[in-house]
Amino acid sequence: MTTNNSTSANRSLLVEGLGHSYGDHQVLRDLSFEVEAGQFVSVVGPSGAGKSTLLQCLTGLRKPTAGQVSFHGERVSGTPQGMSIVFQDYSRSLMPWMSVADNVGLPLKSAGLNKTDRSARVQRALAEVGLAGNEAKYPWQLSGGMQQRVAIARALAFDPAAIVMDEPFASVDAQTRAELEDLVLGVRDHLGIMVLLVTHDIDEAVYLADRVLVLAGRPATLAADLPVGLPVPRDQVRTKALPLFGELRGEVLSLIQGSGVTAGAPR
Amino acid sequence: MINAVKDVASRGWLLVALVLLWWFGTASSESLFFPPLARIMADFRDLWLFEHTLTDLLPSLGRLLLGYTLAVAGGVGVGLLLGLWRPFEESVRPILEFVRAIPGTAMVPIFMIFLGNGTEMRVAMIGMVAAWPILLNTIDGVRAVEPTLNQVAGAFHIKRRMAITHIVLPSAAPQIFAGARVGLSIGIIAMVVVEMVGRPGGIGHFVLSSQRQFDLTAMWSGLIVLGVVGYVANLLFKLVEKKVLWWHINMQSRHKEA
Repeated sequence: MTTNNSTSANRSLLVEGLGHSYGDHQVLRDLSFEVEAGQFVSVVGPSGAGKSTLLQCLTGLRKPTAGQVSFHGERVSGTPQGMSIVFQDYSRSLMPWMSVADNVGLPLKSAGLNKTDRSARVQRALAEVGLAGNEAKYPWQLSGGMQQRVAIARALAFDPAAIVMDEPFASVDAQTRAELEDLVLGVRDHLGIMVLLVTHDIDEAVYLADRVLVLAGRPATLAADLPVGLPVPRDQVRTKALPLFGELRGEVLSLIQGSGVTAGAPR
Repeated sequence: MINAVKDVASRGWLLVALVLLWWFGTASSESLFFPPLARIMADFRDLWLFEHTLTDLLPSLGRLLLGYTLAVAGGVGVGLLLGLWRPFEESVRPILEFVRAIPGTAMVPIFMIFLGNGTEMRVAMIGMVAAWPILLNTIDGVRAVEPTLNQVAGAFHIKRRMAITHIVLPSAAPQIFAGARVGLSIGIIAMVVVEMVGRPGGIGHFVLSSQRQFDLTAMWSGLIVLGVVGYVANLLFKLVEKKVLWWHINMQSRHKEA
């Protein structure tokens, strides 16, 4: 199926007729969308709407029961090359028996990079997330926000064309959350990578993204695909004070509520 | 320095008091069964510095070390395989639980049939008895690896072998060590028990034969030696544990503070 794709499709994430059921219980139905290289897309939906299932299907951690996902023109089965994942809970996704540098470098070590290349990539990734100088520390010696930065650095060190983030800021306080949101925006601008962020937080989805995909209904379908025309660079205070921001979040909220499911409270 | 002295004093006072009580309480004892501690210590010096240490204690410790090493290697190795290979583990589990429920020492007769009554039987008994807690804890530890870490391994294409050495084993290490600690103490019990049967030789045999010859002072000195052996073994174990699991110990003390 790779033969007649255009160049842009070859560098994008393409989802066609994706559906997933757990036994008789259908969670996702007929989702189709495309994310272009370098685009920042939020997937927002209430808790229990199948966001995690969608994420697992997109990243090849779960095989969808219907439809297919392709990345860079190739059908996804197993996490594709060029795609990195930032998991929700840093306390579960980082290895406490390894230093920060080893946590970030383990995938590179497994990929066969030698020590010099590895340490250069690790340094670069840590600098990118503002953690230079913390190589020798252990995750449990760092604050929650810093630990999630380590997880982001691990994703970046893999030199991805796309990173997929699963509620990455759900387990930090509001202050740290705002910092991490802006960090991710900065990284995206700097590296020009595709970011796919799954979240239940409407403000976050709108604030960060170029496009918001709204999941709603049971089974969940794509209720809307909204372009976010907010000016860049985004700013936590000014962007959120814009009338357009209010309109967008209202629109997303009504789409979610219209589906008869209450919007998820922060977990 | 002063704190260190205080620390030793606050931990050690009861031990010192009991030893003194034993020393003076038995000083004029005529009892065959409870000889004066002074005489026990004299025997301890005559017997264990260093004649019987060489002829009995060291061979015992050698067998313990060999048996325990086999137990750790076998317990961790087989436990890792069973922990990773779930469907098989589930069918093996009931059998393991059943065999484990048989007291290890009850196996001595059958081990004697196949391995004789010398070193092989003793090492095998120590190894078998000590392996159980290590095996079962390793299985549990391997199965309890955080599912997110398995996803991390998959998402970042970490090779199977590296995932085992860098993720599965370190993650299971605290539980493996808990099993190994139990294994060590029951290994020492097995060491003594298997020396009370079969060929002469070893500290267990020394204790039993002293008692049979009504040399209870020598018997008591043997018990003191065993106490020292157990204490030192545990101390060494703790040192190794601290070296390997320092991250776990530090992490936990941090969580407690928080």
